[in-house]
Amino acid sequence: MNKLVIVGGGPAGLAAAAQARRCGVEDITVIERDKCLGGILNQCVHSGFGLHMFKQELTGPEYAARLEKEAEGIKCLTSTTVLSVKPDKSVECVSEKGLFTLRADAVILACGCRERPRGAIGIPGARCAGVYTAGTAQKLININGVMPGKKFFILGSGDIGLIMARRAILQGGEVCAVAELMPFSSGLKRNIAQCLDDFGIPLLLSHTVTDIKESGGRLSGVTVSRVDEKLRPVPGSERFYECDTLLLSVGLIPETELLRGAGAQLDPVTQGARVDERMMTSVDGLFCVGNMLHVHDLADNACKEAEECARFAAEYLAGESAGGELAAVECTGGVRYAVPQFLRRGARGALSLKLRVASEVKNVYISAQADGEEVYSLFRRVAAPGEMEYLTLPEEKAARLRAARKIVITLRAKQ
Amino acid sequence: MKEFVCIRCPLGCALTAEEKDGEVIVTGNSCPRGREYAVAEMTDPVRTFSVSVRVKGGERGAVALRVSVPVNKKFIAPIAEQARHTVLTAPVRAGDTVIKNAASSGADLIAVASVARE
Ligand SMILES: Cc1cc2nc3c(=O)[nH]c(=O)nc-3n(C[C@H](O)[C@H](O)[C@H](O)COP(=O)(O)OP(=O)(O)OC[C@H]3O[C@@H](n4cnc5c(N)ncnc54)[C@H](O)[C@@H]3O)c2cc1C
Ligand code: SF4
Repeated sequence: MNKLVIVGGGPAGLAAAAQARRCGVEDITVIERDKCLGGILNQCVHSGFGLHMFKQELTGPEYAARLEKEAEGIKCLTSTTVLSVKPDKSVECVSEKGLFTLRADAVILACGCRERPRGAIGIPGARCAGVYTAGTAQKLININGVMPGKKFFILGSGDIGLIMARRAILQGGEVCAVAELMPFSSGLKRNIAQCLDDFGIPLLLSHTVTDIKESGGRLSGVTVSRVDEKLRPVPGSERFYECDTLLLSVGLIPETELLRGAGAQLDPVTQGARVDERMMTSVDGLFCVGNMLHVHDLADNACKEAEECARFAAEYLAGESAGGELAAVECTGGVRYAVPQFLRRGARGALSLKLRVASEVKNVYISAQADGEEVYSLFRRVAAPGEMEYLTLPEEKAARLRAARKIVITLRAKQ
Repeated sequence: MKEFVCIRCPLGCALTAEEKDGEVIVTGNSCPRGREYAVAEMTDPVRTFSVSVRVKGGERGAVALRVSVPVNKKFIAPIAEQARHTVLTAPVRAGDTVIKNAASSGADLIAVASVARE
């Protein structure tokens, strides 16, 4: 009895599969709803992937090809969608052949994330053609060879929005500007320099779209306003931009349907699963990794997490114990979230925590505290919400944290 | 004098660079990598990027091509222009050199993925 099913054939799923095999799991099946493996990487044709894993700067599809090679020989069912996973680890699938159920002893969910649509942010104005999420536009241009418009306005300055600004220009379009609600961009500095500044595209910080105009059913322009400290539009600051396409890059949220269906607990902050040190959800034998657990900036990090998880899944399948009762990790003082959300009292070995800060901060220690006492800290000259931080505690420090009644991750200013 | 934000680390120092008697003077950097970046931006600002080109008769309508080596940013527009006038015919194989010496930049354009015939 050691059958592992991995749902999702993106970078996290493929990395988990290859690592599970290395750890001795023999019966592995990867299920992918798309025709091909690789997940979101197939449409990310810019370079910037794999600097850590392969020590080389690759484009998304090239990176996916490397991962597929590492997972070569593992059973992958493509064009197959998982409809549900039950707490008994039966996996209900549908493909051209119809419905079928796989029985697994452990399941790793690696279904990635989805983009926040217009509805989720509530832009008023006309309901018309010409509004796309940035990822949808990326797929249209890079996979289908279709330009969704001629003159673009982009709302949201996360990396996808920035990358799509450059893509639109390179494919012969125009970009009016990129508006960002917050006073800072969550995108990488490199992307601001090379995707906006190189092409003279303005970045309007503390601005948002407050109205959409249409003509003949197609978007014909957007009104953009400055916002105050409370993020409310400032009357009188409106400016109209004529354009035919609005791209939304307003955030990613983990895919949660299968988690909900299985009855797994969710984290209100990450909006993904709540997991223990092994990336196991509240459902025994059901693991979750990659963008489905929390949104990653780098595919390399999603893969690293997946490899760690695969090792734990292999241990679980080999019958090793979970490591005792759960202890919750509390985040305060400027730490937005940390994963895993729970430690195991009896777990051994080093501990790796991934976290994000709530706003940009300078000269801080990220501090892990056991019953009010700091057991480990990491200095950062600057930490920003857009860059995930890693706190890796060596075994003896991790043990102190695991034994504490109150486990806190917080920020401490440098004196 | 030119001003830019250093992209070599998340600190993002505000750099200024000025050319004086053939030498680039950099201020605002907190470490040598910032100086290196500013000098490169002043003398030979290179970029790595991809363009999407249309594919006829394939299982999908487009494939991306990447530059084989980083090129000076002045070549971005002419390379993009040349790519927009290029239509490939399936099959395309990942790693194929599709355009040699694109826009006389010295870089070739390489297919990053395969597209089979429909
Ligand atoms: C536009 C964009 C640009 C990016 N740029 C970079 C970059 O420059 N460098 C970098 O390192 N990272 C970048 N990233 C981040 C990186 O791509 C992600 O971190 C990584 O792809 C996450 O991997 P994943 O496997 O968790 O998710 P995904 O890649 O989304 O894979 C999830 C897979 O699960 C499948 N799936 C979902 N539900 C089901 C189901 N019910 N049944 C079967 N299959 C299912 C999906 O079809 C998909 O193939 C970028 C991301 C985006 C969106
Ligand atoms: S100058 Fe040095 S410290 Fe400042 S942003 Fe550049 S690399 Fe970072």
